[in-house]
Amino acid sequence: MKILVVEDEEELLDSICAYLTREGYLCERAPNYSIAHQKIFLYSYDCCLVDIGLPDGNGLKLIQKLKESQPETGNIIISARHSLDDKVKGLDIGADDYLTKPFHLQELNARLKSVLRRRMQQGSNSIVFNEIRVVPETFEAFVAGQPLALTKKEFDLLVYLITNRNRVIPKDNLAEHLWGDYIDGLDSFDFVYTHVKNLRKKIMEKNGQDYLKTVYGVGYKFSDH
Amino acid sequence: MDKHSRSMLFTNLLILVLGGLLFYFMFQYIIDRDIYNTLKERKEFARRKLSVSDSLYYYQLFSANIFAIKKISRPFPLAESLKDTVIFDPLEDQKSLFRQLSFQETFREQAYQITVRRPLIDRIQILQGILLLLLLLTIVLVVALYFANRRVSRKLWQPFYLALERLRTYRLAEKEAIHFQETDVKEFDELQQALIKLITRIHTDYYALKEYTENTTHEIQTPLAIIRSKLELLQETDLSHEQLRLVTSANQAVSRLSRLKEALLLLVRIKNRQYVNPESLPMKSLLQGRLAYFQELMEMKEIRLHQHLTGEATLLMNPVLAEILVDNLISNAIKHNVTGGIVAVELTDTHLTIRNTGEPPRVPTATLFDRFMKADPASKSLGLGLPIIQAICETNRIQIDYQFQEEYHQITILFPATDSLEIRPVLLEN
Repeated sequence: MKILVVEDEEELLDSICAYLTREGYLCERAPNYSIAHQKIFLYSYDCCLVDIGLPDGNGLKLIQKLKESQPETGNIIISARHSLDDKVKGLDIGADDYLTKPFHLQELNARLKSVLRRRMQQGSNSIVFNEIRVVPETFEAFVAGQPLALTKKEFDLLVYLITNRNRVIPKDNLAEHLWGDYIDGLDSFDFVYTHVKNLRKKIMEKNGQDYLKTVYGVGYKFSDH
Repeated sequence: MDKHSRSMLFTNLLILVLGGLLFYFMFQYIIDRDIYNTLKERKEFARRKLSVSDSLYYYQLFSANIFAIKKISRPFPLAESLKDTVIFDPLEDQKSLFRQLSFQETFREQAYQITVRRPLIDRIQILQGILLLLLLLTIVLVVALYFANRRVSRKLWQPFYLALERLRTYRLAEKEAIHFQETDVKEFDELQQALIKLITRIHTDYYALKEYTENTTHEIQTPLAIIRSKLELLQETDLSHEQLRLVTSANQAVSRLSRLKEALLLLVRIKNRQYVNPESLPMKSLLQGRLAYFQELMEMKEIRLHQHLTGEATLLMNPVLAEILVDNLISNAIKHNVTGGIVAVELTDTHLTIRNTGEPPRVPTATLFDRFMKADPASKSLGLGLPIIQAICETNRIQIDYQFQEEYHQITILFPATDSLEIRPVLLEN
């Protein structure tokens, strides 16, 4: 998978690329508009991560160009602007998703996987982890072929956990992923705990393995080793 | 009637009264002189006639009111006397006031007592006439002054009232500095120039400060994003459990700082009235939608929700802002609640009341709307929820009230009457 990361902040660009490379992606860097424009023109990518506020151009324009030359390529807007206008504008011109700085790399990973999954027309659209199979499009989950009845939040949680498998996922990443901005001041960690507990129980009821490990004081880890 | 025309009317009345008095004395003086002259002429006339013959003596029967001539034995040494007397006037068929001049003189060796008279106009009549005139003048003056003043107010003061209305409706958040209509009155021009200078300076300062606040808050974003990404890369490396906890704690602080920044930026934007494009929003469906969103969070805290949405109130405001307002109100009621508590939402045509159980406030309730003021200092909350609610209410003419009574925290917001949103007409009357 080839990903183009357009981000003018070098340190952030480094981090994103390091993370994505570790995830097994082929990551190309574009620190400004002109380089990004050139690369879009010359090469093809599976997905582009585009920062809107570039020193020499607007990221939104870049996405328009991308839509023209490579309509099959996915794209995610990265923006420091947390305004609804920007979000709506971005999604209007055909952005697949929108992330606000500062985002969790795990969240970026989850969004990227989701965009790539949606973009892939052929092949299975399900996520498989050993005996667990999740189909995001239809909100279905199975344990060894048996359907698993999950709430919307539990389903989101499972997808996020599998997408970021084998890593420690801090509780506030999960809370932010599930509730967005509204967790301020709420006992969000208790809520996360409740969801995790219910999810674990439901998987175990269907004779699935307990992959959900608690990392005390930090968060959770979804792994089979 | 304003101060200006009041003092003008007073001055005019004073002048009228003084003028009236002067007029009266002047009139009196002229009449007196005229009468005296007439009497003297008549005296001369009588002397001339009597020095020749007695014809006037006989004639006086027909003109008793003009000449009264008596033959006397001898003239006693009496100077001529002037006095007023009331006698019967056959011409007017009534008793009238006359002025008479009496003197004695000897003609053709006969002494005469001669009195010449002239009818007098009654002083009271004069006074009455003058008073009537004065009254008439006063009425004419007041009416004229009123209309003239109105005209002057309309034409002359128009730029002033326009400028006043402009000042009243002017908001610093407007893109451009203030403009006034040009006037041909020097004083207004000077005032407007001074105002423009003042407001432009405030406007520039305001924008500089606003930009600074926005930029600062905005610029915090990038370093935060970098810190977070580095911490998360560090998290992925082979860390001991203790190290992992440290990194997670640091990352949580980043989240908190990021939320703080968002909330502050939101507050700045609300206060700068950057949320425009109001829409008419039915409160009932908005509330139902947002309550459904928060339902899960309430269930987890075992909070029971009492809904009583009977009103059909609509709110004219930016939809994003309305959602932020409702969300903050609801999350506030959940946040400061106790496990197993109650949230009661009541919507009528005029107001929305949200009540929730919870610990009594430990700080004075008046300070609860201050930034970073928390009812519970140990709370993880940013302490910006209520200030955001208040800022939204302030910029949208919504009244807000907080009370703690009968173990319930109660926030009531009073929707603005729709007609109060109309712009007041330009004030022209004085």
